[in-house]
Amino acid sequence: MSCETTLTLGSFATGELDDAVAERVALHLEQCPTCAQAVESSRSNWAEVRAAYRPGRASDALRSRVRWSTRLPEPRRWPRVALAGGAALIAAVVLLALAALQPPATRRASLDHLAVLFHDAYVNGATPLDLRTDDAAALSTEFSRRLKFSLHLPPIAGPDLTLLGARLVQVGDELALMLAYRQGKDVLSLTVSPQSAAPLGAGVVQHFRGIDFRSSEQGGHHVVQWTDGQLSYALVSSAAAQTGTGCGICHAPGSGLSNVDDFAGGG
Amino acid sequence: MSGHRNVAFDAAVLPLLDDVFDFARHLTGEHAAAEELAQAAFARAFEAFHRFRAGTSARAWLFTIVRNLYFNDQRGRRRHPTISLEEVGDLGAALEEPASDQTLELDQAIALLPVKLREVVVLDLQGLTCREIAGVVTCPAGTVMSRLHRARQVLRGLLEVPARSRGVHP
Repeated sequence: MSCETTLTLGSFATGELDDAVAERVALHLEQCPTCAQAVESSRSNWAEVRAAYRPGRASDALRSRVRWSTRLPEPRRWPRVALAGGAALIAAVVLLALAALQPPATRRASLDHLAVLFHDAYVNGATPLDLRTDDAAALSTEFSRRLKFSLHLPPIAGPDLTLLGARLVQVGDELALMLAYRQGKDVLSLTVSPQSAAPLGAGVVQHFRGIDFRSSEQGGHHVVQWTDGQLSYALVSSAAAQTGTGCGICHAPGSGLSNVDDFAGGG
Repeated sequence: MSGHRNVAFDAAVLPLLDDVFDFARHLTGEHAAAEELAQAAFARAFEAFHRFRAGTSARAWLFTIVRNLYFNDQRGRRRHPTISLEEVGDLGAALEEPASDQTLELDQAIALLPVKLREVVVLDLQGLTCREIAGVVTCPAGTVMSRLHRARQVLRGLLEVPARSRGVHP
């Protein structure tokens, strides 16, 4: 078998080849130490470059401008109906009266609604995680710098539960955090937001250790929301509501939580 | 329905502002121009959000908008600015945390790439797959692979001297 081109080897090293070509290259590498060394070298060099890359962050001023420019209500499209004289005037008055009675277009969305959108956007691959890690302490440190509240995530050590990472999300006018976990075959997400950013949605209320937990079903997901101090939480999972055992983040034996207050951010 | 559109846009698109700004700063080479481009891209994305297909990559969709706006603007101006090492200071200013020496060198090196190599390498560093990059820059995946390979070669060459001067092998 002849040696591969450096282009093919470089692409193989960074995982960019189609499966069929990658398979062919992998077979070749088993027999060719020179190409294997070239792949390893290419892989480690590019890994160093990736590690050194620090993406720029949008300034708060830009964030505000973008948020403002995407808050404008859509222009109303009036029906193209030819009305004449008094009929047009009457219709216009009626339409204006109806428009005045409509609720504001930018009414604040509830936390459960937003959390389901964040969850679906992540699961569908539309919004990947900002930081992929199962290190709760590292994740708390990283995002506490970027959020207006501090995080104290407990170490999760359940055999069936893994912290996948997190990404910043926008809740109302505030930055919030969506944490992603894998429990068995399911992906769970937990959105942690300043309490003032969005109201909790409706749901069946269960009072437990001084906190009201609201459970609801939305779009095939089970959602549990609660507020504790200055922060609100919304847990989205595919699990059916099961009191006390629905989610391993808090209820697994390895979660390390003895009290609901252990899972909290600072104010 | 505008309230619903706002909520959906907030969930799928607004969290990607940092990514869009990062791509824009590498395309334009100037902090102010990058902010202008990112803002214009979000305004365009908001207008066209009804065309975004749920389940597809919002990042790739946004990067396509950024790129189209940038190149349309360049075609309109009939000029293609080049970036000097002195101008790269603006890129460093966009970093929130003090950047390591190596980071600034990497930013400087990326800024020196021709735009066709620069855009694919930044999209790669942003985590897009080769196929996604091909969709954004509208060329075959093989061409993306070739450009990425060339970009890495050039970057390795550009990063080698600063790294060696610190006694670090690249």
